[in-house]
Amino acid sequence: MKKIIIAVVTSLLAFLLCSCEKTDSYEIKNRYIVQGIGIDKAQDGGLTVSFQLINTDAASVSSAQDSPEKPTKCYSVYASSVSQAVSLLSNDLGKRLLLNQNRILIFGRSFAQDGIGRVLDEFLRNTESRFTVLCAVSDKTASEIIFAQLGKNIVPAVQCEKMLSAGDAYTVETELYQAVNCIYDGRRDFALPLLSLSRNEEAEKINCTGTVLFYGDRAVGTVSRSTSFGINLLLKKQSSGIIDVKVENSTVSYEIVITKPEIICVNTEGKPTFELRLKARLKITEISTEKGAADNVPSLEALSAAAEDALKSSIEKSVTECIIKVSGDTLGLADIYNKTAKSKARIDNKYLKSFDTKITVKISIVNSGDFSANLYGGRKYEQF
Amino acid sequence: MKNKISPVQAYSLLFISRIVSTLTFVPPDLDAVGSDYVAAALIAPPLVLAASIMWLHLMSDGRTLIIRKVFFRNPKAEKSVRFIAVLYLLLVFTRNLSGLCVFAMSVLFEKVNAVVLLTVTAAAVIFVALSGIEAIARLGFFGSVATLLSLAFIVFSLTGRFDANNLQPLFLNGASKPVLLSLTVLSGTIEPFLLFLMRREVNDKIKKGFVWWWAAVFSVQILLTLCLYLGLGNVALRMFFPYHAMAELSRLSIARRMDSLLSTVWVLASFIKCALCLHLADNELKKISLGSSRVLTSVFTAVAFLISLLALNNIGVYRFVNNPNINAALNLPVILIVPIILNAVVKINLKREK
Amino acid sequence: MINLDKLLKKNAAENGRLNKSLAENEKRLRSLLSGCDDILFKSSMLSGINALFVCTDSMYSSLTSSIEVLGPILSSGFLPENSLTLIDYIALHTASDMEQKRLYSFNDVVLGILSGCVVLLVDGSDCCLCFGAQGFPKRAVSDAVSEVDELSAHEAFSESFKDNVALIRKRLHTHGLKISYLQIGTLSKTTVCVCYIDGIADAALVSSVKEKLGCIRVKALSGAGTVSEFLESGFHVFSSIGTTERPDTACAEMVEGRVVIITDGTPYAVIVPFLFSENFSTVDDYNLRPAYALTARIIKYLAFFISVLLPGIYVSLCAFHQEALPEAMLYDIAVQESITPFPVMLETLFIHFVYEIVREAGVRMPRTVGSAVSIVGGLVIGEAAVSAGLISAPMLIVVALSAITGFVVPKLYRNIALLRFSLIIISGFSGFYGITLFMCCVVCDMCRTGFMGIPITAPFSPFSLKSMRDTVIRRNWKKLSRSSFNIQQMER
Repeated sequence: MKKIIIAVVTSLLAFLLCSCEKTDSYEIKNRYIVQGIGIDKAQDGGLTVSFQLINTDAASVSSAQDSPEKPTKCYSVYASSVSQAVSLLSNDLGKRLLLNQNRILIFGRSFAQDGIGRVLDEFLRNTESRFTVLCAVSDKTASEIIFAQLGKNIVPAVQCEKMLSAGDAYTVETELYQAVNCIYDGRRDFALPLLSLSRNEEAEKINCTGTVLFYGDRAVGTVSRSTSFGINLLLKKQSSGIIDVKVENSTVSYEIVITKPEIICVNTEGKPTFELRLKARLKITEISTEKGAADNVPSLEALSAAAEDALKSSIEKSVTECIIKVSGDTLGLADIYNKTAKSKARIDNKYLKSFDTKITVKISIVNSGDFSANLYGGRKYEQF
Repeated sequence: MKNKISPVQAYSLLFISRIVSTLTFVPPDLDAVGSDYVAAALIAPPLVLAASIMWLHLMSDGRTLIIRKVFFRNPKAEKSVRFIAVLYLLLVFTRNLSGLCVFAMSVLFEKVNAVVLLTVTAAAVIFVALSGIEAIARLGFFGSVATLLSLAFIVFSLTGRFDANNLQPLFLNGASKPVLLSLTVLSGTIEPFLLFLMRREVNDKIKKGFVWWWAAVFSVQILLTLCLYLGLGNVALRMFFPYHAMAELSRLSIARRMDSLLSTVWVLASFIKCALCLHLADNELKKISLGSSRVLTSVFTAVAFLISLLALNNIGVYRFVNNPNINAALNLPVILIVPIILNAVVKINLKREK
Repeated sequence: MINLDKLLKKNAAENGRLNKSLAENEKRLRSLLSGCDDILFKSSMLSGINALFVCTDSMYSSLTSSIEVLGPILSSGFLPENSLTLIDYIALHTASDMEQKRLYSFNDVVLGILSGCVVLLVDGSDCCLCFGAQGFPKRAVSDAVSEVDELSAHEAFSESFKDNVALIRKRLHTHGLKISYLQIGTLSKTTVCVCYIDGIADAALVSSVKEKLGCIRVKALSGAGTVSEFLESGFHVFSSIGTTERPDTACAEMVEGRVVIITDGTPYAVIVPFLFSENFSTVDDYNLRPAYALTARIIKYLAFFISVLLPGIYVSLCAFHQEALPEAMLYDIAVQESITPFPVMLETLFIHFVYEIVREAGVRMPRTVGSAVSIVGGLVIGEAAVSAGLISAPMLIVVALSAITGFVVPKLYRNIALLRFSLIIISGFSGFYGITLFMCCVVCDMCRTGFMGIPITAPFSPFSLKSMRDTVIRRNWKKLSRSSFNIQQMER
């Protein structure tokens, strides 16, 4: 009985004490939900941190249809660190920021070129922040993307997140902790998608226009989406997307169903040779024959061969442009060499300027759509 | 109620104790990489098995009697030995209590008063510890089931995030770091000693289930270690609570950030381990019986409370209390040297008797 | 202040045995029962011997006594002229159909009279006959109110212990069914029946129960709840003593080796020992097919956890752990909560408190105003409070869900309410951390609760695989019947 009394009294006292002090109970009504953060370089070595906050009145499902308000509220703060920026904004707004719903972290181009490593610690050290947030680089400034007005009921950060996490082979998808791993490990480099804002009369639109390659924590080069396509196929466990290939007189659209990439170092004596293997299953979604050409669609074998060649050349071009010219070891070739090399000598990726590659692509077409008659010989129509 | 628990319950408690040690593992400053930890997780089980078997060997009645005859020759010697055991349990208890509160203050509450948090936690631990071994054991059984299910759910929801590139071949940088890390794992495995202290409260089939415990614990440890590095990579080694960070990665449908679930499991398991340590200390203090054992238990708890309070208010003190090198220096003798000595003494005495 | 116990004991010592003189006996009885205007004394002459019938006006059945007692005696053609043989003759020949017993002491006579019996005293005899011609008003056997089952019998216990015993006897036609009567309460002298099956129930358990009941010292036994408290030791969140208002349940429990206690004046029986898992099983589970029984039990377990934990978890999520909420839900909750003036914890406490008031009013209110309370409760809590911005719509859903799920396990409703309130307060201050610590303490308390070495957490812990056949799952009867379950198997 005594035990119970002591326990109850102690607990009551403790809770009473709790109520006299500031607690960690920040109720949901007293917080602003951060959806996106943008970081730009400011003068004097500081940072301009932009925040995209949810306007809950407009963003809730129940009120989304009728609310005339914009779905987001955006603010920019000048500070020396991200933590300070968060604190300043919280003070200004009178409500604490909720960082664990942050969807996207955007770096301004010039900031990325200087190195993003110095701001990443806040997102790892703070237990409230997510380190699974998607990262991207803005074509100009990060605040431009954060402050974008995409239209009624569209939250830019949500839009960006959906775009980047769609699994499309033309868009690289890198989460913060993956970037941190690359920076601190030094075993490989990472790439981030390049976002650009375009404007028309009605609304603005955010597009992924390329890929920014990093060496360490600095952005060292930018390539177009089509150029980074090959690298993405080898990077991602599972890619998707459409590729168009000209085959004979037709333009064939293939949809990537399943991909299985593999990179092996086959020669570790002297100049390394890397075998870049890709197995893919494709689906034919469209065959458009040129006007005036004979109505003979290519055969299945020709289509497979054409797809293989297209993917091979994409990969080759990608590796040349992204790794050799730019010196970003996005595929982790040096690490693969170091893992498999028998000798104890290790190579750093900056020495990976020249290496041989052997690219192997195996394609199987799993589905040619409902309209399959043309694949097995077409009908000829008389021309008028 | 009869005051004996079944081996299943006893090993559930030890399973939880081991899981807590795994989840609260702070990477030592060895500049090791993920694959070194995985290698260590593979090397450690046989070492722990060997140490545990030595302690198990001592638990038969005949051997315990010989130990008592040799070391408990007079009441003073017995009290001294038990007092040393109590001090060791005080250290373990303090480490766990402070670890639990540091975790709560780092991850869950940053502004709460440390005194308040410690008071509430200590009060709850005392309540459970003084409820008796049966209550603790049953709670441990439920806790171990809940822990297993939660961990399985978290691991399952992590499977989509694994990246094989995060792992390097085992022993790529040599075997020295994995061996050192495995010794760290061994030094954290005080469960055989706890089982030895608990032996009188477990029914006769105490050795039954030992292999299952050992297999379950190390399967879970290896699985968690693999998941940690497959998911997070080497960035995990820079986290204060790597496994908590791992849980942040998990995602299943609309459910994200299972770290809340892991935090709950962590708190539950730590709490049960604290209660077990306090209960065992209370048992030893009763046998010492310098005065009222409840007074001694209160003093014991108060000392642990004060040290924990210091640790919560000063991160340096916390790091000292939880320093892996200091822990290894204190634990390895208990885990390895003491059973070797005791087994040797028993063997010599048995030969003499023959 | 007069100590009634001492007075009664003193009186008992003084009164003692009946006198052979009827006048003396009558005088003493009148003095003992002075002021009781409902006691009837009817003098008569039986075969030239003075006789006295005594009964309580409101408690005896005039019809039964006329037909079975007074009528046969008074109209008997032949009665012995000797007082001693007169009693025997009446007992054996005249009113032999009636339940009767011989009483020798004034205490027993008074008890008999006040229990509704008709007592016959005869001049010259120091014993009297007590005829069981009770006819006090009692409720007929009706449907179960709180344990409603679809496919099972609808009979429930009533306030009369004799009826209750009969309901049990008619289900267990075995001589092993033992029913011992005890009287508890110095003033009320309430009859308490201890029922068990000899050979199945543990003898130590039975004797322990009887001993504990024998140690009860109260003036009046108001109900079986008093008996339960005396059987239990210490306060625990969940009790190791159960209750049932169904005789079929009581019989099933006795078949498993438990002891059932029936208290006169209480329409439910007490069962010892009682496991926690039994709160989730009903008689219907044994009449449904195993798969449906399994579904029903799983729903009950889930409902219990939802009812206890949901409000606390909601408060924790809103106050501490917003990261665990999916985004769409987070936005909606944020919007709804932003218009309410109170912190989430206070809001939850307030609405639960109001709900408990409405529920309690619903239980106590007269039937005629039942609909009015329902309307007011629904309007006030439902629409008006949300419209006025006092509470949020998600909060209302949480309260409604936790309330409804609480009724899925009606036996645990009060425990659930207590735990729910505690968890709301704790989660408001310390989130999941506090919830975990509190639930650990509650589970620990459950783990140390038991009766005579049988823990209530059995067969979950200590785990018994054999007993799990009828805990969450219910194996089919062919397998269940192969080996019988006895509660003593759970002893550790």
